[in-house]
Amino acid sequence: MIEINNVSVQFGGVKPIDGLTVNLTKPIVGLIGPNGAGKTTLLNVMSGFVEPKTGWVKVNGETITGLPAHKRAEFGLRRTFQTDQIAEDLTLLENVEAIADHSTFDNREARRKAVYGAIDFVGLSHRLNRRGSDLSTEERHLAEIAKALIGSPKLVMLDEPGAGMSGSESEHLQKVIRGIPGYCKSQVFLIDHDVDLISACCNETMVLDFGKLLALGPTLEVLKKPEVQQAYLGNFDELEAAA
Amino acid sequence: MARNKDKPDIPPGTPFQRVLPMLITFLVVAIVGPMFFSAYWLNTFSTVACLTLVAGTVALLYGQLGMVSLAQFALTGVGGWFCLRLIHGLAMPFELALIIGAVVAGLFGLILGLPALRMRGLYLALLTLMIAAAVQVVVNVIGFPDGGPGWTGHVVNGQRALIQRPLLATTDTAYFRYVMFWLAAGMALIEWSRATLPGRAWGLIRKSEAAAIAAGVSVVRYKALAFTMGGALAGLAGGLLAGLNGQLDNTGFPTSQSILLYALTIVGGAYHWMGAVFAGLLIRALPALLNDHGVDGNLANAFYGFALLVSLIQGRKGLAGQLADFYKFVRISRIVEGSVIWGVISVGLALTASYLGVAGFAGTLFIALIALLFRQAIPGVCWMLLGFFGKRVQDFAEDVEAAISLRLAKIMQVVGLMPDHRIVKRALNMLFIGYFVGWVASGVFDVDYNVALVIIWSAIVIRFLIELALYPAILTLRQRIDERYPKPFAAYR
Repeated sequence: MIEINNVSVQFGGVKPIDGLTVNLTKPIVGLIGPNGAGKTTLLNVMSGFVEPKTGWVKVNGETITGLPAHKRAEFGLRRTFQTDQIAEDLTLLENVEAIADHSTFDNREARRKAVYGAIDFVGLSHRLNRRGSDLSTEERHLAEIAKALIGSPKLVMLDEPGAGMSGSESEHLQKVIRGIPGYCKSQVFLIDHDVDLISACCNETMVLDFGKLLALGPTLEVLKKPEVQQAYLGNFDELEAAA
Repeated sequence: MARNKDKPDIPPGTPFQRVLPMLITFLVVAIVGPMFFSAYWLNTFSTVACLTLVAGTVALLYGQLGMVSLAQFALTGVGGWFCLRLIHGLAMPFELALIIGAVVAGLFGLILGLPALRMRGLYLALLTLMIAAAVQVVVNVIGFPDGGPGWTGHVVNGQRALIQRPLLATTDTAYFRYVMFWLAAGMALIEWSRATLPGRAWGLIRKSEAAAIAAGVSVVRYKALAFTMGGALAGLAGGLLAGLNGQLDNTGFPTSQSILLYALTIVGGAYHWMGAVFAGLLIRALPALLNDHGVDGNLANAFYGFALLVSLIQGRKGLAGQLADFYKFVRISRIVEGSVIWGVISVGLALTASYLGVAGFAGTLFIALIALLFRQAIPGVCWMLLGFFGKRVQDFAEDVEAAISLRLAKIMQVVGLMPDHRIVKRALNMLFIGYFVGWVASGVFDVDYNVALVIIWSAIVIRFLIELALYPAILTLRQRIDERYPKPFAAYR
């Protein structure tokens, strides 16, 4: 359950997010929008790298706005980045353990289970001891997701996890993302350009355009809306007129 | 060569397993070293051990966090100053003063690290450079304590007092082992941290601070930890240097040495403990060697510049990284075979030499061992040098070498020997290594240069003859061992 109330962000004269108010309740929520729509800025607001000029964000009823970025992980917010953040000279296991080091667990066994469980969940058990530099692009994206699942998070935010993946790899990714709410009882907030990935995974999708909410609702319905198609593909009448 | 993607990866091992090779190396050097070295070289190597520890802290900050600290050598001075002050002023036992000196240097390191939380790259380097210069100025003004009055403890006119070495280690030999113990302890602390929680946190920070913060890592805490640890160990080295000669020289900690140490840590390799050892050897042992040969030690600086250039061009992992990469592909059969044959050859040569009275047993043994060890360790030195004349010359030489090697390898195969496709490169390499090792050995072990050369060449020739004679038997043995134990160091880092 994410509540975003009247959030605005301003960088000088630019307003990447402008008075956004929205409640997101479904287990997997998608966020799409054309370039510069404010998608990543919204994610940065939620993970604490950008302070909103106005408004607040609540996750599961608790206000997170104003919490320092490194405290948000403890609170149960996890995110991935557009470019993967796997340390090249640590093994996959060490990369995931590095996250577990800064989460709290009841005992060693629980920690072990969380680390190995997350790696197994994304399907990388056979790569445990491979160094980050030797993992493929797909494996790195999956490893990023495994890192985000450590320490029973409340909200997992994925920033373009499908970038640069082929068809079959993307299918595996869809399965993994759909499994997250069942695996660690957390809500998933998925940002991607890939409409196939969004429509395959998300129960609900919001569309941003120029920092404003363009549409929100069940994914298929939202994608069919003419204003969404126009924001994505442009106005055909205008194109024809220009020609 | 295509990498087999589905080959199972070898786990890096527990932290203890990862530190063990280093500890064994230091232990062996500590035990065996004093048997070979003269008093002059023993003291030189004690200094090398101290500087290795300082280089280790430079490598810790640079390799783990990408932060350039040019003030580590200045922190060594700080640690040494406090150590001397406590012993002269309060007549403290050496170990206690050493540790307090290290703690104070650690605090200095922490203070130094505070701006590093917001700075990086060139700005951090400049800041630490200024701190190094400031320490140099302060030391020039107040001097190191040497039993004088007042809080500086510096004698202006009169007899300077020396501190006593620790009770455990009053002789040169004992003090060398004492320094090696602290070096092993300090480097083990660094390596252990790298293999456990702090190392993983540093890994995240190194990759991206934003990602580390998002993962809940306190960037401030882990950067401060690295600076404190680096400062404390550099300070420890300062105390050990003070104990070596009983005093420290006011001119002993110039800013230029800080920069040199940083450059040599890059040359040695900042991502492997061996890199720090190389840096220590280069900064102290090489000039000493040059002086020993009657060459001006400052000439080494020209070599350092060249070495830095090469390591910046050839790869960021430095000498240690290249050596580690080399050993990843070593097979255990070669190690067993090599150790047995080397052992036989060097002991045999050493016995012969001492029987004939041309050279000492230890010196001959060591020369033969080094010659055999370096027989292949620096492949392509000539090629690297050719690179300076341009790619075309290098390629041409490479083609000629390949053509000749191929012919020779075919002939070898026909005769029933193991075909060696790199025979020309090896021959050139041996030529280089032969003269180089001969030159080093005649300096360190007081063996006549020609005798050293004879030892080296007989070692290599005997090695070759043994291989000729036993080739068929060795080949089957090799294959059987390799099947059972493939590449043991593949995962070592």
